[in-house]
Amino acid sequence: MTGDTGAYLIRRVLLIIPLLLGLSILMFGMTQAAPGDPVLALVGPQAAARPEVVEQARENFGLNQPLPIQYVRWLGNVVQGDLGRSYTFNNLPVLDLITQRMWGTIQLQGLALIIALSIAIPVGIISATRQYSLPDHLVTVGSFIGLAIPNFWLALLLQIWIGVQLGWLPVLSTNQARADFPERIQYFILPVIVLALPSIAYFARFMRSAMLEVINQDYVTVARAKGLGPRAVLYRHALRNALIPMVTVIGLQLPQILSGAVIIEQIFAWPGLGLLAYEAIGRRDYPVILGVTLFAGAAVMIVSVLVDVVYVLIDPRVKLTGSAGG
Amino acid sequence: MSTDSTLSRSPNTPSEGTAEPGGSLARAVPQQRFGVLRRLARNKLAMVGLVVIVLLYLIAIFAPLIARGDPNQLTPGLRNQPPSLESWLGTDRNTRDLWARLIYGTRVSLSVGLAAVVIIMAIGITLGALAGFFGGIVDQLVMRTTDILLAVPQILLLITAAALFQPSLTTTIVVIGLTSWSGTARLVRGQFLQLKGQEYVTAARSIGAPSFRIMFNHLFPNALAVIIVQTTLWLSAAILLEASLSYLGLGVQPPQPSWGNILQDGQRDLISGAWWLTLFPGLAIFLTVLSFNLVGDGLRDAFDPRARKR
Repeated sequence: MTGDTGAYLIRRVLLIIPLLLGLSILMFGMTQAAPGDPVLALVGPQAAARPEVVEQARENFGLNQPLPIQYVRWLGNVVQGDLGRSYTFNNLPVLDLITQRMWGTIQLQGLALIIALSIAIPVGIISATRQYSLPDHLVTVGSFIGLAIPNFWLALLLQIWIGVQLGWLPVLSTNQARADFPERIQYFILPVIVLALPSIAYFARFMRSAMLEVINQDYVTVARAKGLGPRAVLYRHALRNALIPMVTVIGLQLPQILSGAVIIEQIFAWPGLGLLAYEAIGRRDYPVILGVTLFAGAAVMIVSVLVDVVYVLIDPRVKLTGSAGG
Repeated sequence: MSTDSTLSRSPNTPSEGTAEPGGSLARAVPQQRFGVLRRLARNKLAMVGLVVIVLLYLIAIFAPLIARGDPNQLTPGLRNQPPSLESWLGTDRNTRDLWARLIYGTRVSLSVGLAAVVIIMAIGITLGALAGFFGGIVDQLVMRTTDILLAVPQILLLITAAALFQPSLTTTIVVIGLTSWSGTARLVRGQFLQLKGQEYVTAARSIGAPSFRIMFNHLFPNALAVIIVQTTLWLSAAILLEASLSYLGLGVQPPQPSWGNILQDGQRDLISGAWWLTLFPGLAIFLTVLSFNLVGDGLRDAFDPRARKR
């Protein structure tokens, strides 16, 4: 890693701070600009009718302070690792809620990602090495279909067909965390299929074009010309270089992955971050909304820096010197 | 070079390379424009997509003629009826005709997509153009804002905004528009950045052309290929986002039918066997998104034939 690249990466890391600040202001501003009073949701419908209770709650949660003060106070706590307490989830600290729910999402999405890649990469290679053959056309058409199927629709159809009519798999995953290892797998199958399908389509298409690009490079022609067998050319020269851009694409998929989590976790009642966010939004639980959003934003930004690091490590030709993030 | 002659040239294709041998540049360019269309016409998948899209817009425009009735008409006794000759796609829990609701839903879903894309493109092109052309602080501000928007999962932003500001048709359009422009802004910025160093821009500058005119007359037409492809792909994405939001109950509100909220309403009866209420609206979303993607992809290949050949 050259000095320039190191300096670039340090700039990228430092840039995360103002970006997260910007994100927090955006989210904080949005929750505050919205009509409706969170205190009413907070105290429940019975107490909401009694003004003195409402005022007391407002004071307890610091919601009677001017906005900038609320923001600065919240930010001061966030810097110390305290994301505040939830309004509605038994008043639990937001950070605890996030770390509790995080593993559900990581397990589910991690498994879906691994399965998607282990199908998409071979499919993409086959498609590229036999360009314009029948399998290649099938992959092209199949990936268009995979990317166009609404994931919530597919989830519903699978639930009703495999879960209810055939009765093979559980429809909801509420109990998955309590289940032991062999039984636990069955809760993963349907959500993983739904989450992996569009990823397979996307990654296979990308792998195909990355592979095609590499195959037509001079060094591959040279390798072929010096008499290397097609397999050696493919795996020793072409594949390694085609996988490099895949790293970037996988990293860039993280926001999409987290977006998918919100809808799919809600449909399968999967106890993860996405469901937490969905529930918090429904209950106007602002500290949880802010916490989850900030957490997701930080994760995406950190992953994008990590992707750059990996990129430099696996491809010695790459030198990163551009202006950070630009 | 006049504005018109650069209209449909792919920004990545040097004019010398694609001009017909012997033909002057002025004559070659109109041929190129048809070249894009001809290449698109040769793409069978894209053509199928285009036909479906045209049909969908015709359905949306002529919905009252096709729907065979009012989408909110209640018919006592016809609750959750399966598809039949009287009710082509069956009826829902409230005895409304699914065919009529889907046809009117086409209108709503396509309009939301179109309106959202107008916002996306207006913001994306303007900010991208300003950032690419002026650079400096403007560029920094725009790019950092896109960094922030791209870091948050979009659905999270969408449902937060939609839930906090009362879900409705307008809210849906506005929140999709305001959260989706980052990618377009970055692409247009890239185009402008790349184009502003070209000789014809320097030439225009040297004769004292104002920045606005350079941007609008010289740079914008050259970024058009990117913009057209983005528009097509975002039409599909916006329709899918609307469906997702409405499915979560945070988009278009019933009784106004949209494909997403028909699905959301119908899924409750899935367990009692009313599969048509889930299957058909989902198929409508699927076909629409698929068609726009096919055309968008075909356009991208048609604008940049070299990428296609590799």
